Amino acid sequence: MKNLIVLALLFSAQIAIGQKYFSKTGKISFYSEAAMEKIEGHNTSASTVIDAATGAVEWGVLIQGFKFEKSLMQDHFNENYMESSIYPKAKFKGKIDNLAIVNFSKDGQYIVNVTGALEIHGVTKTVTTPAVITIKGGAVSARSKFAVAIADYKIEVPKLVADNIAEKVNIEIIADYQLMNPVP
Amino acid sequence: MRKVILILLALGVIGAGIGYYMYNKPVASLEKKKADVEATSDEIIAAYEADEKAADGVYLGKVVQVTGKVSVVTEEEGIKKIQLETSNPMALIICEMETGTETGDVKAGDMVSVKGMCSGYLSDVILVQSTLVKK
Repeated sequence: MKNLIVLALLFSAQIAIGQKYFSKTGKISFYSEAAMEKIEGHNTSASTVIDAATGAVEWGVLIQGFKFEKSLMQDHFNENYMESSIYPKAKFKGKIDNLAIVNFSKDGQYIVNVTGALEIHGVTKTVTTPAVITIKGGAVSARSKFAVAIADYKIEVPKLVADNIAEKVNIEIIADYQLMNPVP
Repeated sequence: MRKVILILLALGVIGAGIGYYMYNKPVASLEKKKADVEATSDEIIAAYEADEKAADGVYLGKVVQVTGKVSVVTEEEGIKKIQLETSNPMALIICEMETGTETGDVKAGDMVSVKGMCSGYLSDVILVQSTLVKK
């Protein structure tokens, strides 16, 4: 009987190690707080995957899926700044630097660092950001906040509206992950 | 002379009013807009899987009316999504419904037509500001 329990534990541990988690309802919001105007956009259909074995993290989001309060904000965002018909997606591909501290089979909040390549507006930059992975009753969620300087991504703001758009835009991401079923 | 000034002033106020209105205009609903493209969920996913760039040329940023079989209807924090099956069991057309849209008794297995703005392809094709097309 004891052996059986040990075997079962070993087996479940094995499964836990090889797991990938995904979400197609990741939320990405950005906040531009400039002297003249506050602008925020929200996307609720980002895709993301975390590989618990390797610590690989991926995010993808469609630029034209961001929602705004005002129509003009949405138009300017897509046409003038993000040029979303040429660059329809933003992507992140990276890794959890300190994966060892995360125990995916134990409830808790794990503060990690994630480093990787962030692609916005066709420009790719290496970024590192802290993130929080929360495990609760087997459910995995993650969130992070970081800022990007829009000039780094070759997003040009005309002088005339320089007071309306922040040079650094704050980005918040959050996702509740589901276990990815292995493809049979 | 005074009249001219008054008229100019009035025009200025009207102009400012229109400017203010335009500036604050909320994102327009697509419900009354005619679809730019009509297609089935299978056609859209097949186009994206064959050549994403070419498919973006046809669908991205356009008002697309898609017809397909409902896989699931979800609601999370007030955001409803009607997800349509495609010929690929791993890929869906995810239609994010416009805030406040009623999805009525639409359920898995129903054939529906949904109109929305195509925001592109991740591993699924996503439409935003979607509304149900009444038959």
